[in-house]
Amino acid sequence: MDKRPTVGLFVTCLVDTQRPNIGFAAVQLLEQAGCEVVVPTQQTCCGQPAWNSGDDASSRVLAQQTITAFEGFDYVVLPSGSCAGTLVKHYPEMFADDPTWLAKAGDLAGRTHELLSFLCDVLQVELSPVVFNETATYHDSCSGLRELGIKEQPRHLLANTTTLTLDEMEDTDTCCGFGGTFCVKYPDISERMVDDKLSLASQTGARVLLGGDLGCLMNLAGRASRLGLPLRVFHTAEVLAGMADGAGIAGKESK
Amino acid sequence: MSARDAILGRLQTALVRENPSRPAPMSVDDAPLAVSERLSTKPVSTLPAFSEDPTERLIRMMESVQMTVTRVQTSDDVLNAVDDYIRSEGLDGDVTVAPALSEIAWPEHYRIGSASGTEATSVTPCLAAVAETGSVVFASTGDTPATLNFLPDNHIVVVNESQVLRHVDDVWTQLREACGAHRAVNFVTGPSRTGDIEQTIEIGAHGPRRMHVVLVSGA
Amino acid sequence: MSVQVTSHTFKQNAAEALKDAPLQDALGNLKVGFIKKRLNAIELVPEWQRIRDEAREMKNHVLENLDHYLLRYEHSVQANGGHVHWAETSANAGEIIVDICKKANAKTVAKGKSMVGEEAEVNRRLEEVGIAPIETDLGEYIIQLAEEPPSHIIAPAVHKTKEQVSELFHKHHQQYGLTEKITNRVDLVTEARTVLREKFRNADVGITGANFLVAETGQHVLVTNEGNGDLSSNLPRVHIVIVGIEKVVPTLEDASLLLRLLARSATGQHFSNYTSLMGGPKRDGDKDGPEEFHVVLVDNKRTELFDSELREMLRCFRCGACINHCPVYGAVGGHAYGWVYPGPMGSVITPAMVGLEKTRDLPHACTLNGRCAEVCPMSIPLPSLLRKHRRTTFEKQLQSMRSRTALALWSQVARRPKLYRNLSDLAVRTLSWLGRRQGHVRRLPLVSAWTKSRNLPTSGNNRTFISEYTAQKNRSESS
Ligand code: SF4
Repeated sequence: MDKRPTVGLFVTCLVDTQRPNIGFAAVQLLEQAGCEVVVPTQQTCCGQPAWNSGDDASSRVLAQQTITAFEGFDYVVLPSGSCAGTLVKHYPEMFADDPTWLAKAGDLAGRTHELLSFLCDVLQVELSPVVFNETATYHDSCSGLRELGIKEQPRHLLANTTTLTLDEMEDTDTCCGFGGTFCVKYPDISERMVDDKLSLASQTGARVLLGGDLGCLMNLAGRASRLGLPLRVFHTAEVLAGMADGAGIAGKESK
Repeated sequence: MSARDAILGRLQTALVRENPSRPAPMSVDDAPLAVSERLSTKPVSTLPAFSEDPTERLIRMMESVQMTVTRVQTSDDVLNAVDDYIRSEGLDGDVTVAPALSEIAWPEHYRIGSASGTEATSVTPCLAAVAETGSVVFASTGDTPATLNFLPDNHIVVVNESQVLRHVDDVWTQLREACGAHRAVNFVTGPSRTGDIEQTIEIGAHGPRRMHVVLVSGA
Repeated sequence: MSVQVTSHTFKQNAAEALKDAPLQDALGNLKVGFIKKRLNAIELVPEWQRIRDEAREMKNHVLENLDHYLLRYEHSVQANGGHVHWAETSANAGEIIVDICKKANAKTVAKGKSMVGEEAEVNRRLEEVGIAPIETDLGEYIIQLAEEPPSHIIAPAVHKTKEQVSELFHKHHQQYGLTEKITNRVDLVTEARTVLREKFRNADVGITGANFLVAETGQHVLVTNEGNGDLSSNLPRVHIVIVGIEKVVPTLEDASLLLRLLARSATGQHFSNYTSLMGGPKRDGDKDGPEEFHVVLVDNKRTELFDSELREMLRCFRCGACINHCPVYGAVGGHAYGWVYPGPMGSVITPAMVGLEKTRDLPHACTLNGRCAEVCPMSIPLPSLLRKHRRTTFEKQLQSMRSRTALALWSQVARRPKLYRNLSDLAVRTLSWLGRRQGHVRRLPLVSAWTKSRNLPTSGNNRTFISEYTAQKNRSESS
């Protein structure tokens, strides 16, 4: 058999600090799929907040740092569509006028994948079955959906791996109102958007809300918890890895 | 400098900066090849394909936008078809017929001419009908005044099946063959409507509330 | 109604809009009215993507040769007996129109909906010289009575409920002897028709916009559903078209290419009810039509847009699809944006036309969710154009001190992996301690904008993922 593929896990700053469980789930799933996982400690932030704020100089510095930190891996995998989108789509834009770094950015972009689409499309893996007897509904995060075309992959993995029932909400692909700095710059508008989203989610029979991007999930979970909605929120990787047993993001752990 | 020259100049400055070999004359006669070619070859883009019979599709599309259609065999049947429609719908008021249809032996009280603004119903021919969109197409001339298409409450259009074209682009070919730029060419696709109150469609905003087509199969 | 720029108070405008109950009801109608119909219409055209690509290519070709196509259009209009006027600014455009109207001794003017006309504040300028402009598009008419600017480019009165329309008509139509208060939609439409028909009859000049200008023939394409544009063009003695210079296309075939995209994207119709090709005054032998025909070609910063990274925005043909699909627009409506153009296309255009200083919120008030670009039939990459405005905002240091400092701090820390690790560990420890009972924090000074309406999740761990993972790895390797 061929040598196991090496995967550099870019855990993303939100997962690193807010929900390490997603990082462990990602490691578990990747190892289950036969990858050799490395977590480079030189990683920090992909630079997306700076890029989206128009600070191109800082974005480039962070991009160079990331490109260097992830040199040499067969694949670079992120449990986030928006951060993966930054590496895949925006790093090459950042270096449009810099041929040396453009080549490196292009090389990284070619090796970079969002976790769920990597498992489904690239590795086409069969994961070990997971018992999760819940009805869940799904939020498609915008960047993953529109920059990387992630839509069916998580649903496919969930259906093949777990016992959960998916009860789709209306407008699964409408923005939840997170938008990075948007939600703190325009909190009123963001609140309206997240409320609309949660009301659609609540109209289903689901008591679990899943997604693939922690930014959106924190927004949804933080608001649901404030409103006292009976909704547990998880990253899809947590469910797939059999690591979704607590109260979920922003929930009160009973352990 | 005139506003015209200033505007064109700014465009040209930007374009020449991007492509220094680009000429920047201020006259129609010096168009670059790409421009004169496009204007002369008039490339047709992708047309939505359909396998339906054009006339069948035309009728279906027209009915989907609240037009009604009566089919008749020959032009001799037009008079009766129009009269029947006016009577069965109970359309009171005056009728004005486009001069282009003056050869038909209309009842005495029908007026021939352009719109007076007080008639309830107009009867007009058309230039073509388009299966792609379910539209009737009118070209303004002295014999087919455009106001007849817009002012009356009810508009009855006589369409010959031979006038049914597949796509909008076929109308362009026909217009060019005819005589070039009419003042007005109107594609009408159903009675006037508005969605301006609460996004709910209502018929009869400004133009006709009823559009009826008499479709003539033979000559 | 003249349009004051109020984009600088976007946040306040938005806050008020969110509390405006009738507005919120009205915005709810958008989804059924536009989004679903568009989807249904597009599903019937398997060639959609190809047509979209061809439209983008065609329009790019036009932009690369915009000078020539404008010259050609001008030439063709003159050949049809029409007059072409060029206006560098919106004020110039307004003055040209006022001049034509004065020369025609106009007392009243029938207007079709024109967003460029809004840019040029045509109504205000006409009123100032004692000429009465009458909006004839029902939506425009409603907001003219309400003395409000439009809140949507194709549905100007989308923010008004039926009850509000009923009030307005009741108040303004009494002067015509229509004293009964009407409440149902059909009767409201009929009443407006009756009132406006009289106005059409008496109008001396008609002013409309144009969806496309056909260089080949010197005609323009005007698309409406009501037929008001055709009445405004055909009945008055003088017809004026006011239009942006970017609207030109080479041939009739190119117009039909765009028409296949326009109505479907705008309202979900396969074709609008009235799609008219017009140009020039009455021909010999014609029984109707205007005696004079004028086109006012308006620049108003379009050449600046052209000569910038935002050139692609000039492909926009104002279908409104991006607006209909924008969740921020859906939450706050059009007036919050504070000028003529709302939603994603407005947030690109408005800063370019009225200045980024006065509109700096617009490019930022967006989650970059990308739905607008996904639906834009002209494939305009709206989020990346908004990001370009953000870059200018950043470079010119136009954003608030607070967000600039926060961002600078963040980038400085993120550039130093070791410092970053230490600080994240510290932050996580603090947060976990704060959230130790609930699994979240309800109030936190630095991120109060977040905790105002949301709890802040805490990890439940005392360490970041990387510290914990590295520690575990080291343990397992040493054992
Ligand atoms: S930007 Fe695109 S979607 Fe928005 S109005 Fe313009 S053409 Fe339509």
